[in-house]
Amino acid sequence: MKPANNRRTIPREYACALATALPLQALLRSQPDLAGQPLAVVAGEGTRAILAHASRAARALGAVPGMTPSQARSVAPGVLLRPVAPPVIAAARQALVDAALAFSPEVDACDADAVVLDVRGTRGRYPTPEALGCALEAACARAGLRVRVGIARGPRLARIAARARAGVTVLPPGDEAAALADLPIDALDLSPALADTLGHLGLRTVGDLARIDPRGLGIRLGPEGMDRHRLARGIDESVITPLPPSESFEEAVALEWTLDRLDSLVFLLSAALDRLSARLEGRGMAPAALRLDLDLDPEGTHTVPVRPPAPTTDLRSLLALIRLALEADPPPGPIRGFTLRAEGGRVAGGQGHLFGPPVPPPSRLALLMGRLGALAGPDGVGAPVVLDDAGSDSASLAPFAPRALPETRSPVPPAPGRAGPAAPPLALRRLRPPLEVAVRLRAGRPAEVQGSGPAGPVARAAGPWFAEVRWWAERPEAGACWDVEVTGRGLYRLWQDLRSGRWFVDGQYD
Amino acid sequence: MGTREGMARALQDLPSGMVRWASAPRESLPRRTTGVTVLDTLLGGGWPRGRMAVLRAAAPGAAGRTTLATAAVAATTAEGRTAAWIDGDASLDPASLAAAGADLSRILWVRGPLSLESTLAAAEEVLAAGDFAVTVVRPPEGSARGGATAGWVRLARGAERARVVLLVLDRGGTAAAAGGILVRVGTLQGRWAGLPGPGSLLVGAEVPVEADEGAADLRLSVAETLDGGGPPPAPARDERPAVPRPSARPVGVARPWWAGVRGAGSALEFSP
Repeated sequence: MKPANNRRTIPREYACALATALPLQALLRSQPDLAGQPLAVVAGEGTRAILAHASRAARALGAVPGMTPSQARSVAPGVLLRPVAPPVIAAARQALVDAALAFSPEVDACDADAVVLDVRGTRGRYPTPEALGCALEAACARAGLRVRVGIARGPRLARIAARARAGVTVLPPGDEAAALADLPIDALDLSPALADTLGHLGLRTVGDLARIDPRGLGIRLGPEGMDRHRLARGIDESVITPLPPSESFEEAVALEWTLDRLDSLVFLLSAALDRLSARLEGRGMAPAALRLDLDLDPEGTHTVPVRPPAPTTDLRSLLALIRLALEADPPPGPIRGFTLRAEGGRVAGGQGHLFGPPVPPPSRLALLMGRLGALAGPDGVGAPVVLDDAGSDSASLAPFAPRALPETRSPVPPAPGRAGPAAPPLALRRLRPPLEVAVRLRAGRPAEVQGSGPAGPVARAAGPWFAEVRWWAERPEAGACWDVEVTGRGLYRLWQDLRSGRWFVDGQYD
Repeated sequence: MGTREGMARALQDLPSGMVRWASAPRESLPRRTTGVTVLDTLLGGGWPRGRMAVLRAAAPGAAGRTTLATAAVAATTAEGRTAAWIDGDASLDPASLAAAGADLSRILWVRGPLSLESTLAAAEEVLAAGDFAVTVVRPPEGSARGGATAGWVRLARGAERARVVLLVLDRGGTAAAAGGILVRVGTLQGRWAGLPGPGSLLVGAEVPVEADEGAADLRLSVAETLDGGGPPPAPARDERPAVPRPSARPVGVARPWWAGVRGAGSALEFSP
């Protein structure tokens, strides 16, 4: 007995999201300050350059697609003519795919400006196709793209519906022919030859083609005609080829001018970071690492890596980290564009214990770590670690990720003979960097500390404890450690470098 | 009693001076152990939760604030709770925390050096999270005088809202003006074993501590590893300035640093 195939019992349903004038939208997406201005996208170069897309404001001035740049300037001197770099268009296209992936794992980028997704089985979340279409439209808007959405039983029908009308268009199942009847016949994406033939036959609308008797149609119009006839009658048995989910998230901005101020760059980065974060959020991820490639003028690239302490969706912290990184490693020249790449990471989940002491929930902790990292630097936040290596800094930082405990621990009583809570151990307050001082010796032992800081006669001293640091190195360091009590100043730890004879105050017993 | 009469009586009962209407009386606040028995007794059970506690050095040469803060953090993490240390002047010694019995994995260290504004901002973020039972704030060097009084008040309010312990290692600045309890530490007196000279060993210290509730002398020990235990902790070095190196290699064999060095000392020999 064949196992039941649930997918075959669910009616087919596809949605198409079409971003009209995608290059223009990509340009506005990367440079939001151009919104509302008479703007036209120029395709091609030199004598072959023409206006490929024009904004509503540009059209109102008379600059329309198909014009040459000189023609456009003559009719509309105020129109802004901009080429759009391929990485900018690619980023917009990928953003469209990412928005669609939030609705279905099966997404096909069928055209340069549209995606088709298999939305079977989404009825539980979106009760009606219109609700699904509106949600998809909103998701694309959050990604910075205005789209038309078509929903139908087949992917090709969905594309036709999306191209036909603005907004959300749903072809009712079983009634597609009637819904398409009034559309011009060009909506069926005809080849020039077939379009010519149908024109000669007097067929102007999709309904005209659908009403033709299919017998003998193949002989007169060929396979393409047969295919379009079935489409006009609402029959679409095609399938999509889902894309493998991309793990590359990047946003690109190409400028007509050069930037040499950090504030201006950060302003553009803020918008790019917002778009990136929205795309990652749609996939259930947050930026775990960033890489900023700055395109220098006239040529060259300057790369700045940024790694937050933990994957976080807090844009303010991420932007602060980027700013810190740029201030620490500024570009060597003016910038004419950039590409911001993000590596997605999942905000760590965790399960606390009902009766145990509270630990910071991972999502809140990631946010906190991001904000603290923006204040102290990404390497300035974590859990302290004592390195078991006298040859290096004994203090280091590890990622702060406390485990949830099943119960609150009781204080462990001290071992017999050991100090307990009544006599806590003296803590050392370190001086970083150590403070150099001069020490007068008597009989080889410190007698007086001179210089800035804890100057004064030494009442008592203990030591020396010798240490050899980095003994494996070609030139190991060696020194002696002393505990001294400076009269009236307190207890200090001194370090004497035996090679140079210099003395340092390592810390104060505080 | 009418409303007017009630208000009049309440006004009569007010002490003179500034009163914070929204704060709970100190006596009613739950306490968290300081990690030091004597100090717990002095403070009536420990550090109050929801109130800022300022540890201040009462005189030049006064010390002990870091030890008290370390003890509080150690006691907290030993219970399995988390603590935070906002280290404005990058002076935290993790080895001291470990010697006090702290669980380092449950301590969030914000390592400086930081400006006073960044220190206060970091502390505010930690308090706003509300997940850390104890937060220690050490302002950076040079921030003793004036500045950021409003920041300290915000911190005090943050501790109140989060109902956590906030310890400020004040340098005589304006933190104390923001309210809370004030604990003053006096001059640290070392306790030594052995005769002066070679063989002398620092085994502890005593420091007078004074709070509004009274005064006490705290007896502090040196890290347990020195009390007849194993070798002393490695004298760790952080960010040493570059030192000129002699051109020749050292000759002779350097002894392990823990071998027979209590005061008597053996030396590395170097050729010029």
